[in-house]
Amino acid sequence: MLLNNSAQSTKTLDFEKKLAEALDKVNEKQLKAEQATQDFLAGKVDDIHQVLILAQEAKLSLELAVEVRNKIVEAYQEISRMQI
Amino acid sequence: MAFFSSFQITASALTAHRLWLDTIVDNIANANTTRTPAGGTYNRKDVIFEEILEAKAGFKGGGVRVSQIVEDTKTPYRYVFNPNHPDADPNTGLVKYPNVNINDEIVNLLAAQRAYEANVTVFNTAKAMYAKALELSR
Repeated sequence: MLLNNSAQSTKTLDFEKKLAEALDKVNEKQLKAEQATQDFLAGKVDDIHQVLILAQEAKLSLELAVEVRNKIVEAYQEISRMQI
Repeated sequence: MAFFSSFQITASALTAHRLWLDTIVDNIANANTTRTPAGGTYNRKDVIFEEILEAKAGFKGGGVRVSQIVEDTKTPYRYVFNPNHPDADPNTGLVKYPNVNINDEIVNLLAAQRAYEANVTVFNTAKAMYAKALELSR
């Protein structure tokens, strides 16, 4: 029982870590897109498609993060509705 | 984020085809150039595309890049008789013009444009697929 519990807790820790990592990646993509836009406006990058592709990547990964959040919130609501 | 690798591949293709476009534009711009820094007439330039090989999960590939830009010296030059031209041959009076055929360049231009468009379409398809995948959870 005790072993089971500790395994459970490491698992939640792992999930937390994974979630934080994923969010970090999303943030990184946003920053990269921002940087690319800045560079393009400053005339450092002349490939407009690079800028737009990075922006799309950032947008899509943010959408993925939102979907994941929706799922988590849904799960939380499901638990909070649980009869004790 | 392996899904974004398709974006990277189309990005490489877009970059390569833009460089091809630049080369064609250079050819057209210099269609009548008789003087170059290297001396002599302008030679039309061609791009050589090269596959980028990168082993990814399940397939090998990773886009395209321009490995080099070569000068075309095989296509015959255009000779025009004009003894008054400063660059005319003193003996024959012929001026050697570049081996750029505008019609060929326009055809290449259209090909480059269509290839660019095709890659944009691929990008949009990949994007639509990703967006559709996000709808799975709804």
